[in-house]
Amino acid sequence: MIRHRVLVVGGGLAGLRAAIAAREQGANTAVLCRLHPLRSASVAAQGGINAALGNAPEGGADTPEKHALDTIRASAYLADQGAVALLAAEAPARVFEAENWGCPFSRTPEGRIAQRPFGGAGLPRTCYAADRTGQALVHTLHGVALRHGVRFYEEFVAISLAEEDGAVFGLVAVNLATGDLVPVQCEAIVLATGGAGRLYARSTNGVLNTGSGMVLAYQAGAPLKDMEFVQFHPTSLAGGNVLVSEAARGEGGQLKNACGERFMARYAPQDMELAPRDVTARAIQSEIEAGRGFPGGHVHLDLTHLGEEPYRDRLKGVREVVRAFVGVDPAVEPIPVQPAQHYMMGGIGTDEHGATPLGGVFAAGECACVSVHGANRLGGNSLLETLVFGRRAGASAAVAARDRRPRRVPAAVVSEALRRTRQEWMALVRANGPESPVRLRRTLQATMTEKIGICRDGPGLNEAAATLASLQERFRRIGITRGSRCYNLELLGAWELRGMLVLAEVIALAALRRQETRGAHCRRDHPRRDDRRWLVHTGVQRGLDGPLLSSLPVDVSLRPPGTD
Amino acid sequence: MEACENTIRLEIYRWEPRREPRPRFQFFHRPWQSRLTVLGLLQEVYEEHDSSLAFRSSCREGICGACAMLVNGRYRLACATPVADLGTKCITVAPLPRLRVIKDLVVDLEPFWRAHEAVRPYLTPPSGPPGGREFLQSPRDRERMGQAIACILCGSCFSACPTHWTGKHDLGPAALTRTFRFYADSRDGDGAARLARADRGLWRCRYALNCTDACPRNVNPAHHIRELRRQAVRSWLGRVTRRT
Repeated sequence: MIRHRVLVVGGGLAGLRAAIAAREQGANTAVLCRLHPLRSASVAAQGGINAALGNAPEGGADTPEKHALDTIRASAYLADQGAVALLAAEAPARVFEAENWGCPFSRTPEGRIAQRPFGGAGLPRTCYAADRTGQALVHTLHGVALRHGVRFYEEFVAISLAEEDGAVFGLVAVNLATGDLVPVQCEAIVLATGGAGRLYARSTNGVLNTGSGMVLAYQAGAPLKDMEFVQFHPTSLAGGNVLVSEAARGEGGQLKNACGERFMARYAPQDMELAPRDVTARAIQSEIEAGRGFPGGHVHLDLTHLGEEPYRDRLKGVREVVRAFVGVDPAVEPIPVQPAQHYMMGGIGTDEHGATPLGGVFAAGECACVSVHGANRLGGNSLLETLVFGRRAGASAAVAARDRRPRRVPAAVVSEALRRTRQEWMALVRANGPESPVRLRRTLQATMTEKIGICRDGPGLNEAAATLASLQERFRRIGITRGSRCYNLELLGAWELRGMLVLAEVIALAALRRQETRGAHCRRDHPRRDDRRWLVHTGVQRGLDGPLLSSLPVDVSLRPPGTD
Repeated sequence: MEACENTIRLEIYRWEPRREPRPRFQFFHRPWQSRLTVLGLLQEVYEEHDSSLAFRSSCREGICGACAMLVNGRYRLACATPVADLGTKCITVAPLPRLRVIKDLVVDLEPFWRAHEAVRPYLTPPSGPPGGREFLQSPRDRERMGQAIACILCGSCFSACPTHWTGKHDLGPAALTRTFRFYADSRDGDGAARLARADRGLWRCRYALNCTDACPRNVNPAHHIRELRRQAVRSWLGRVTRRT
């Protein structure tokens, strides 16, 4: 049996930062990842990472307090304000640390870390490494993790947690190359598996983002929080939904409809294109639905007035991506864009140390909900969250692992989990029903995009919930091709699909329950924010017969709503 | 067999070494779509024809490096290669050559990652960070690292390097490019040791330029290798002239 003191699931930025923090505490640490860490979704983050450094000439007066306030406002007051204050206060230290570790940030003429304006922020606060900030950070942190002696298990996928009486002692993973189920014993687990964009037909996420960590935690009894809050990025390339960074708007890009109007003037006359993402995505969706979009359902992001200059460094990657995927040169022609699922604000509920109510389980990054994003995340805050809370979760996990006094022999719990998981896994291997996983998955994705997308309403959500229930039913009659165990993507895909169906149900129920419009959650039948009833987090816990929903208090200690 | 006007004739390398004695090619016909990528094509085959097909993919936008493979004999990131750019409707897809095949298009990159780790791919500053802030680095100094910071470690150059084929090139172009990236970083203080560690691979390069040709991100490993050699000679000359 594989044994480590701290086990991190996920090799993206949050996982890498957690692993480094656990090693800094002296814990024997390993990372399980679905592919090599350098392939994780974090590398696709283009725009940047927020920190009140005040390096830009206009940003000289920036403070963590202003950063926190911008984050709270964008969150529609649903973020826990103590956690936001921590995020903003620790931001400069985490960014300087990443720089000191070698991250190749772009620079000001004075040689300091360059910062640019981003949507929803009052000042240029977003630090960047050209438009490859995520890649620069992941490569840097992976190097540091190697230096610290973190052990990596590549192409190992965690499929169930070894839980007993609310405490976890390890997990069962599948080794993709051999197809073997592998028991892993550990004192503490940090879940850092990222988002769940693959629930949607249109998503900017990579193919690995199936929400597996949220499912692991939920199945083991940890509550999920605020799952109805799903961010849609306003500008993804029409068709394949590859992201066009917010930097394109930060540099002066203009959104235009088929009539050639700069329509943001109607929706956000002050901020225009730099309005928060929820406002911009809804504006684009409204234009398309009002028939002012282009055929195929998109609008234009126009950069042609900016000339050649921004493509030398800051928007170089944007130009490459646009050329490759839609065959358009943004310097000459406008870019066809449409909104697409981008980020899950909700996730595994944690405290400020990344701890969940499950003993020995911590979570960080997109799969967690601290919550610092509330109802809507600010651009540049997700990379920041991975570093700030990845470090906190990793360090807390190492400390908790050291002090843990298990009541039962952990190895026995893990063996029992292996036995149970093997039964379920083999049942799937032998499944020979008429339903195809691909078809179920497509129906799921279409339902999510149509009914639980940018704009929602009661009847649509009820239909979605019914469709999802029928999909769960159909999943019981699934059929898997008899194939080799080696690198069997179909089997893993079917296992993940089962989890995705559970997660989709949670999102549908949470969205149905919240009868208001707040941030990214837009209910056409309840178009107003209702602080009297709904200034609460939605908690969802696994019950004996389905999900149990509850309201949890929001921390508004810094700036209660209505005070500005 | 020719591809018709509106179809793509796709040929995919299939092999599971543990179960099959030798590799084979499997043929598919798919409808032509102008905005489809090679990865999209593989995804369609997986979903509609044969879900036993094994391939790696992650970001879908050419930045993670998971889907490097041979497309019509050239090194490509499948996700960033629109079929319309290939100039033909006959498409052949094969795994990165000269690496052990695990299954179909999935190869064992273990030797590649070991080489990457061997060059210590992290910054080693000469002294501690300046008072809890960033190291100063002028935009010009940053530019010295050039395209080396754009390397995504997809493994194409490693697979394409003829010296690596002889089994004597233990580092390979990507690891040497990473060495250059840190050597050229004005914040790093480990230059001499980096050159010494790179010695194992630096002088075995025969300058075939396969790496530069193979790179799907327009990194120029051969250029970085030449630059490192120049620096190595310069530092050696420096030592010799000081001695005499």
